[in-house]
Amino acid sequence: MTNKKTLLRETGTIFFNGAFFKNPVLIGALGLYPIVAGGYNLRNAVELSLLFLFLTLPLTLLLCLVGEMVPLWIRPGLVLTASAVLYLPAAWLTEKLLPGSVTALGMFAALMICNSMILSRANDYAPTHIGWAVAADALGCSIGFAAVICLSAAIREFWLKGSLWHTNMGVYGTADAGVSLPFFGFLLLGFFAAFVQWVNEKRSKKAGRRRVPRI
Amino acid sequence: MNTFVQMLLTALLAVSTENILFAGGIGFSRVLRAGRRPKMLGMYSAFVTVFTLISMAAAYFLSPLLAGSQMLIVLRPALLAFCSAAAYLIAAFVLKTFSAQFYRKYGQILAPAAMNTVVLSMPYVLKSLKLALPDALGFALGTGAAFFLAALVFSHTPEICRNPDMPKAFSGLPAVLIYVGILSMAFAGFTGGKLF
Repeated sequence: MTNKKTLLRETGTIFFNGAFFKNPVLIGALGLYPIVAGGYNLRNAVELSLLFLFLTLPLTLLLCLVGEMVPLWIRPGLVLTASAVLYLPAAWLTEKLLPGSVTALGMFAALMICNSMILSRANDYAPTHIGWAVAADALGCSIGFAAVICLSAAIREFWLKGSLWHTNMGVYGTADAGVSLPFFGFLLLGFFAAFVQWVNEKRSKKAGRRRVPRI
Repeated sequence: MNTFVQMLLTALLAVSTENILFAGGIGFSRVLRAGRRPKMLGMYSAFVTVFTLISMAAAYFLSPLLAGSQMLIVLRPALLAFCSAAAYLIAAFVLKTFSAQFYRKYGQILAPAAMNTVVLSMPYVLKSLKLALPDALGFALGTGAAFFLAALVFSHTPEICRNPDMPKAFSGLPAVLIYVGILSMAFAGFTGGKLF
């Protein structure tokens, strides 16, 4: 019973770390390209998030199963090959859920094969951890990625066109077309990363206060 | 002479106005990491150049095999990644077997360089830009040089972006991202909008 509780708590911690407190995009600067270049409207953001999930989960679980059997120097090659192969069903599934998405995304979708966040999770994390932890980490990272890209895309689309998911929200977009360019994505990410850093600092201060013994 | 000029022009395009690292925002995660190892930058960029050339050549010869496929947009990137993985494995095996000392020193940057190659070649492979060999060589040299310059710029950012005068929340990565955003904005001025 205690073991089950501990496992559940640790799985939860891994999940929330990936999703927010140690978000690989905002803490590790991983997988930036789809967010800054492809995530300029909400539809793109949701499509890329789905593709990310469908690629990350099977890839990391596969590497969790076979990763430790493979010599270290072969592993990056195996991860890249597995990512290329698993991209085909992931793209098919995304296309089934949102018809026309992969074609419309073009290079933004294709570059998911070598997304640094996906490859680092599969190459470094998955082979040395148990299945539960790997699944929680993959799901947490997918949620974290989706949260960042969807928030950034919503801000950019709303500011540029006054719409969300290509539906007008009854206001006029006031921004210049530059909002949809990569540089604006980087600027937004900078502010998001600062927010997460601020929250983490508050948390560590609070935890520090809790650890001070009472006299 | 004409071929040589063409090669230089392609290299110049890859480094300057069509710089996919700065203007396109592609491959930044790895450039930032490469910038943390300034002593290895030269070799890292050389690996990127070699792998890019191999990938472009492989794409040139293999793309006719996929010409009739309905799933071209999905198959082409997967094929490029597969070629790059194969190139990495061959290079790692050869270096490990015949030059163990070199591999011990530079083996750690071999895999990131191969992965970066997929990232940097993807725009051209997807557009079915079949570069002739001189152009491919120019593109590979230009990409290597662009990668080197970008990583060189970012090799100094960690110290700059940890300035104690800035708010604590912005110190480190947030400041780096804003710095990259401003640099990227300057390059967007050259390209005039989206590259891809």
